[in-house]
Amino acid sequence: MIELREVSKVFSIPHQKRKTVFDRAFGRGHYTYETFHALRDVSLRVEAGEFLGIVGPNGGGKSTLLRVVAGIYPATSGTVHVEGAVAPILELGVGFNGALSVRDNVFLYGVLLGVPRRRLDAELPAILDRAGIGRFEDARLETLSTGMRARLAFTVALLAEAPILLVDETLAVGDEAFQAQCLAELRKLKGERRTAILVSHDLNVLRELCPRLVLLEGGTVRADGTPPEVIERYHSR
Amino acid sequence: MPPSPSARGLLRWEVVRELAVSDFRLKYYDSALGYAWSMLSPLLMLAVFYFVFRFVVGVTTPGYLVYLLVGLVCWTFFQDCSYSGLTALASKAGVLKAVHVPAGLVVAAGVLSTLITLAINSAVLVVVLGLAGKLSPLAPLALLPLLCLALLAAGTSFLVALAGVQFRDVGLIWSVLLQAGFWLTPVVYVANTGPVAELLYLNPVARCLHLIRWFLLYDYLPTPRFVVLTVAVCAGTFLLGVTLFLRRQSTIPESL
Repeated sequence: MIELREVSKVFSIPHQKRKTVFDRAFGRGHYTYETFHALRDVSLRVEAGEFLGIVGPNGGGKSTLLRVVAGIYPATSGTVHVEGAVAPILELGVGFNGALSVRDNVFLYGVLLGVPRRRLDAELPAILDRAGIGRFEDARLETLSTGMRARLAFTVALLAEAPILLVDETLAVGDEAFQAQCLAELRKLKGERRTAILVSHDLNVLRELCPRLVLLEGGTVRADGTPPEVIERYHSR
Repeated sequence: MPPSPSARGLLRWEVVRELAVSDFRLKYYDSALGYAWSMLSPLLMLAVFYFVFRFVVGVTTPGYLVYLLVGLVCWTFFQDCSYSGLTALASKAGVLKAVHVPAGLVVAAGVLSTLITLAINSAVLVVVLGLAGKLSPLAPLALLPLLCLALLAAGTSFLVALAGVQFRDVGLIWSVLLQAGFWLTPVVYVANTGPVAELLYLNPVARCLHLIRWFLLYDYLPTPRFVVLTVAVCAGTFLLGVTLFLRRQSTIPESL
């Protein structure tokens, strides 16, 4: 269960390109900045077992919302209440390093997502199998194609076994086969009654997986309802 | 079901270890020869400093070569370690924005990676000193000031990393300060007595270095006051760095 009550997230954006000690000590004029409301009084409740889709234009606050729910960014005001462990899949293969071996990358990415090292050790062959990589665990990651890397990352990310998933545009990478695989995995997770918030520009995917959509624009919830209603609203902006 | 505190502690340790080990691997390309290559630059520095100070400046201290060797190993560690938090945060900005990992773990991993290098270098150093017959019987006591140096460097690393999040030119400023620090610390020259030495030993790095050399190479004891003050300053810096960092930790991902 996820509950947000009047959550706002404010970033301060300096007018100067970079803030430096030099500016502080010798800069002329005042140090000025602008505040930017990435989220403004967002209230939202996602029940356990619910798949919620979020749509909205770029810069509408979708990614910030996921980061606030994941605990990566603290909310400026309001309360965030999350029951259960969260697996944020905001960027596939974050922390991957091409110069390291496939094995080392699986271990590194896995523990960053909260999967115990011992389990990664035990399941390494199965992980490589599922990702369709075969026995290349000693190869450098950079020798794998982009699609293979995405599949590997997605396979590891699914190990996190958290009851709550936050997925940001993961489906945008990879070929059709990969996208179909992602979709199949998400369907399976839905069948397991896991909770998820999916952010995507692919309305067909959202329509299929999510009985409920939210339109986020300018940091506020502009619509909340069934896919046809919200998509209609989104298109008629 | 939320993980128990001990399970969470284990996971945190695993994050630090994986980050540190992968950092170490990238540095040395996962080979013994990689480490040997990494010794090339300090050994060259050692040769140059020895030549200049022995034959150009005319230093006559007995055992100057081992004095210099210990100094360079320790100073290189302090320099790398104090910088490591800043670099670790910068290189892991993407990770910190995408997964829920406390920023302090990333800094700790940077520190740990330089500690691994220090451990290997110290082991090599002790073997070399032992073979040369220069090791004092009090040598095991050198672990105490070495631990102090590690605490001091780690605390500094947290402070520099935190400052670096707020001001973008901290990296540049710190590299200049380190340059000054190198020459204001008796790394390559000898300064044991006199009013200037008193002044130089206000610097905690100089104090640690002094104690490490004292125990490793000479077999008489320093004053308890000198030891206690050094331990207090180093432990204090560590606590200050970690405490200040933890206080600001949650807002670090969005500031990177």
